[in-house]
Amino acid sequence: MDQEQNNKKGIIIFIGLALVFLVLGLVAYKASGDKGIEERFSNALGIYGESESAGKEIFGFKLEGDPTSYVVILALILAATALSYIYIDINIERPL
Amino acid sequence: MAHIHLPDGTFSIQWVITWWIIAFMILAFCLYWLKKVKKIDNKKITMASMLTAASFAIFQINIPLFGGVHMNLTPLIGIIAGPAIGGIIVFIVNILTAATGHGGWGLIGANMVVNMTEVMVAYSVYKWLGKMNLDTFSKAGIGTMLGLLLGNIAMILIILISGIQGVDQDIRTILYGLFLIAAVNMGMAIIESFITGYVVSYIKKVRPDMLGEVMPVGSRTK
Repeated sequence: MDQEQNNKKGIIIFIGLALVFLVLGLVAYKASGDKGIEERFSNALGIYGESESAGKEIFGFKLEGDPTSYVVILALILAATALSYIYIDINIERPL
Repeated sequence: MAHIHLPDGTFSIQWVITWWIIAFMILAFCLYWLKKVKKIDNKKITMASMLTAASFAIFQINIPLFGGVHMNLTPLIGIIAGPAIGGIIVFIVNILTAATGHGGWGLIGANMVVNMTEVMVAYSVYKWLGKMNLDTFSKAGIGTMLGLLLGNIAMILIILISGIQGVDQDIRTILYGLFLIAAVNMGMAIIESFITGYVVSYIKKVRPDMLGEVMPVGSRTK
């Protein structure tokens, strides 16, 4: 019985919060209009004339930014991961 | 979710360095914690990899609600992996998202602070609500919403503290604009909290050991 009451309490709090944020979101959307997130930031901060380019299209998918830098960064992350694995001795509990 | 979608050059170099230093301090603390305090096993590392991939993949999807918003599942990361592993995950995800053009490289430090706030708050609220004996869906859902709320507040504070270079907009207009962004993000947070709630409930049902709440049957000893 106690468990059931607590479950109801949890759902009531959850739905209450969801309703508050839904109203807040809709009011903000009405006030600011139909915009993407980058455009919202630009308008909020008064940054005009600079928009992020959509980048190249690969198999129908649009990658934002320069794909070459993406590959370079991925290679650097792989190197950093390998070095971390070798030199930072994290205590891993291995199964017996 | 909250994320500072601004290009490089919007924050001054002093603030870019400041947020990067704070991010490195958080990262160093996470690594220290994993090395000295909380031992991790292979399962956790595998789970962390999966969470990193899921978070990055979902971040790339522009959800056509409220004009277009993103999710990155930071509260789910916090609840499942905990803040120490979560810190490393959000750092990697922020590097990858900067590489694909979502926010400048200089803003990775600031975005790490924003996302770490979401991870920490979601984890703490989920654990705290556990003491109140609420059901798993509500705990995870409420934790997610509060995590994302605090993440949005952190985002606003970071932008206000850092200031924007070369902009004449007065502080009230900036604050109003940022409030609108945060409010729209919170509208999206409802969907993210439903997803997180259901994912955590499902994991609790089929693999409670992944949440560190019950030991797996096979590992029980006399």
